[in-house]
Amino acid sequence: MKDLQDIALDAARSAGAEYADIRISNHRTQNIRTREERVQSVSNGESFGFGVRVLVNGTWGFASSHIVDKNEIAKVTKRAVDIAKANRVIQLKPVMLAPVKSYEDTWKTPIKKDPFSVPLEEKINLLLKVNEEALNIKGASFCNSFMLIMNERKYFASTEGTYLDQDTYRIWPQFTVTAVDRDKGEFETGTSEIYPMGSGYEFVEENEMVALAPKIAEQAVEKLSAKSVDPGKKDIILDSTNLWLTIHESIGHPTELDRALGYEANYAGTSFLTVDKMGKLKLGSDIVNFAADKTIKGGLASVGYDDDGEKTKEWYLVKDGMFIDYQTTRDQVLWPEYQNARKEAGLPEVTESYGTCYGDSWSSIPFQRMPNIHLDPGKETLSPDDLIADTKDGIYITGRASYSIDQQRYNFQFSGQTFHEIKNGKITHMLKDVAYQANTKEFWNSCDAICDERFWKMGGSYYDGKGQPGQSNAVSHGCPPARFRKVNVINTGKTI
Amino acid sequence: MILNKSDSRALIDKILSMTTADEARVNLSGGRAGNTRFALNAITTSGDEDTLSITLRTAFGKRHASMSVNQTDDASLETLVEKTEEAARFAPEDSEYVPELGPQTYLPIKAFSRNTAGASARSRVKGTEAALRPARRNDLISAGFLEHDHSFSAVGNSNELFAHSESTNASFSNTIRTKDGKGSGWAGDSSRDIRKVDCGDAGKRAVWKSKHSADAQTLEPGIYPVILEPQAVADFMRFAAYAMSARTADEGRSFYSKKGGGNKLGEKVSGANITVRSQPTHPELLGFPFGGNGLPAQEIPWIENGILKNLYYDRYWAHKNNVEATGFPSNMVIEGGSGSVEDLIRGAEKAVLVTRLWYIRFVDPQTILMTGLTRDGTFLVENGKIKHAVKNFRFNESPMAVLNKVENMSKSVRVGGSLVPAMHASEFNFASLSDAV
Repeated sequence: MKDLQDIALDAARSAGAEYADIRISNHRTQNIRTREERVQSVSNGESFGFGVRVLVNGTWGFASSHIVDKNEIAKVTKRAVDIAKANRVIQLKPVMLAPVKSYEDTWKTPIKKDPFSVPLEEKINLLLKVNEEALNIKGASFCNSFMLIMNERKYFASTEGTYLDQDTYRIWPQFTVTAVDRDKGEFETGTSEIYPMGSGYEFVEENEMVALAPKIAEQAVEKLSAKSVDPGKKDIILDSTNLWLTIHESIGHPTELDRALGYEANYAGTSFLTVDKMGKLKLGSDIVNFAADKTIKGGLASVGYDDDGEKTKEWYLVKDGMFIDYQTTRDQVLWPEYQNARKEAGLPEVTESYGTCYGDSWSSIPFQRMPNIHLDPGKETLSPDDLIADTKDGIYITGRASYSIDQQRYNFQFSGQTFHEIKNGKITHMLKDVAYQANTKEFWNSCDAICDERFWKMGGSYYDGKGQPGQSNAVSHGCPPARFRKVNVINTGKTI
Repeated sequence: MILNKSDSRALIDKILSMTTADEARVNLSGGRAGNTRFALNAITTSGDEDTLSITLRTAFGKRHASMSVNQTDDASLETLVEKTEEAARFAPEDSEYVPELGPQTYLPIKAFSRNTAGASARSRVKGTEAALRPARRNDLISAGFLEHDHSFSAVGNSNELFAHSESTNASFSNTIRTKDGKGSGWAGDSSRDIRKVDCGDAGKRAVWKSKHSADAQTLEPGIYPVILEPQAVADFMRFAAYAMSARTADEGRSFYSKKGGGNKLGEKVSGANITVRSQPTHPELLGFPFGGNGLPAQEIPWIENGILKNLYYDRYWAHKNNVEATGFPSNMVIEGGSGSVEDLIRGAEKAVLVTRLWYIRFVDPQTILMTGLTRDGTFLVENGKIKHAVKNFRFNESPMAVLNKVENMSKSVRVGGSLVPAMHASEFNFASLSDAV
């Protein structure tokens, strides 16, 4: 591999590039989909190719190809340099890269059981058994299940002297049960609260989907006759299975430095967390701490090194409720807006990237993507039962459902899989048609209780979109259940 | 990588000759694409990509599986055949298996432009410069994206079906913001022919919206008449079109399901002024002539004068119900009126004018209730004129509810893969305010 990579690096240098990197990668996927007693599809995929990124006179150029041989690499590298040269005529200021050490290393997702090696029959039988168990519940009409498996083998090399070989695995088993009441013309769904993980097949086994299936089916059936929520300001307790997505949308995206400075304005949007708020804005209550990393075991975004060749690390974005930092890449750290704002706020100097550069394929231009971001557990001993017992008028919400947030990440609306009314410290009954709507800053400042580390759990997304052309990033978010006071709960029931 | 008709046929025949399966299908796709991204009035990233995908689907009796690769050497193709056959043999029998189609006749659709196929980084720089000029001149901050591609798609199977198509596409969009962050405007353009994409005009339109959207005033949330510009209509109405699965409706889990069982075919689902169809030969759109399984794309009315005329049927569900398969809607054409957005504004006593929508998600599939936000140019119209900009809203609304309240429409225009008008509707539920600009 090194001899192929050196062709790109040498060709880029001799064409005048001050920096170049090449990623040669192979992406394998397996996707099994079933419904009821039927296997709808078994699809395997493999995609192999390379992408070369060059910096010429402070301007980026990129080109890629699925033909991986010496001639093509030389040709594509020249094309990347030509693109950079074409673009530099209208540039206003040069790209500056933060310093990085050189590494020669390998990294692999710690897995116990290679999911591609598990016999197909075993995976199919598991999904069909899940469907069967769900459909044994009276009132359950349909059950869809799937398993997605992904492996990315990536060889990175850069003119900084870095050569990396990384082998990443991700897996996601999931099922959804639908209960239909044809007489009333109504239907409800229940989806297993299993979220993807950077893991091997052991993650599937740990989740005991067959045992879970009847419970999810019962939830879907119960929803059909659940009471429609009375809207208003209520205390809500968000289970880890719901809160992770709220963290993703309201904390993860606004702390992307490229968004904050306008680089994503045309698509994903900008951020209400402008650099002047760093070290000054109380984003959450004193108990709210958000840490970022690309290192945690099982994290979807966890790798040894990012696509800048920077070693991954951990840092805080929000400490004791105060917004203190962003997610960065090598071409962002030296932006004067960021550096000056840190200095002005009296925050420690940051000279290296946090290592959040990622391209979702060999054909994609790498750029700043979200790391794993987690809510720290509460320091006091506190269980979800304790929280419920301490709540007079509230709703306990689990699972991921409808989610939407504006392009600066102020106003969001989230729903969930299940909703249970809490009255005077006790769960009374199931509710439906529930969504909570809030302003990010007000919401996190209304957080008055966070369960302890025993209840800390990771959720995550396989398909976080950003960029043009759109790229997908997988990312995990850990949190325990937490309570938020007086949040606006709306009723989403509607008739046409 | 572009494979022409004869190269595609040769590769498909080669793969089909290697498999021992009872039935097999090969799908090829690929192409060359280029893009340039800019922000803060300068180019940020730019790249070219060259891709190919080869998908083989094999079936032994009713057992089937598929696999995709992107390498064409003999060893890779042998692995493709071997692994696909192995997976198919392990797969249980599929009770809904439908045999491969035989040879088909396709609509003649020429969606190829030499100008787009020959575009390069230098042509993208020209387009970018044209769009940046009005922003720089007005001391505003522009971010945008210009992309073009030349792609091909081919399908062939063991029942002697073969189809090949080449197409090009080019699109541009830009968002221009005021330096104080109080104003933001968006505009875009797209065509099969990159020379017809007017980046400079899109830049000027976004400048106007940016300047006029600054210092937006608060309009209390509530139900207001609305004028949705074509981009907002395309953003919103696609959810109504894509939910038109006959099977989902028959199974009782869609808006198009009928109380007591069955679906709403033949029933009134919108105002009588609404007609929605797929029209792959429309000169402004020019869709693909075939779907992934080789089924020909065809002109299909979905809603005609408010009546639900068709739902989409895959081959299995069509066979079961003894109707013709339609495949997924190849594109969306909403029949419009004759005027412009400005004419709709002139005819409105009071309305909220919406440029585009953002982060639209299902809240309730039963009613196609969607939530999302307005973005990059939201204005209050009074007595036929834009009075002032208003702060952005979150909405909770169903496209089907809106289609029952459309009072006027402009002429339909191309927005990506759709042809849609601007719509003036009497009610739209703006549920809460957003501080986002």
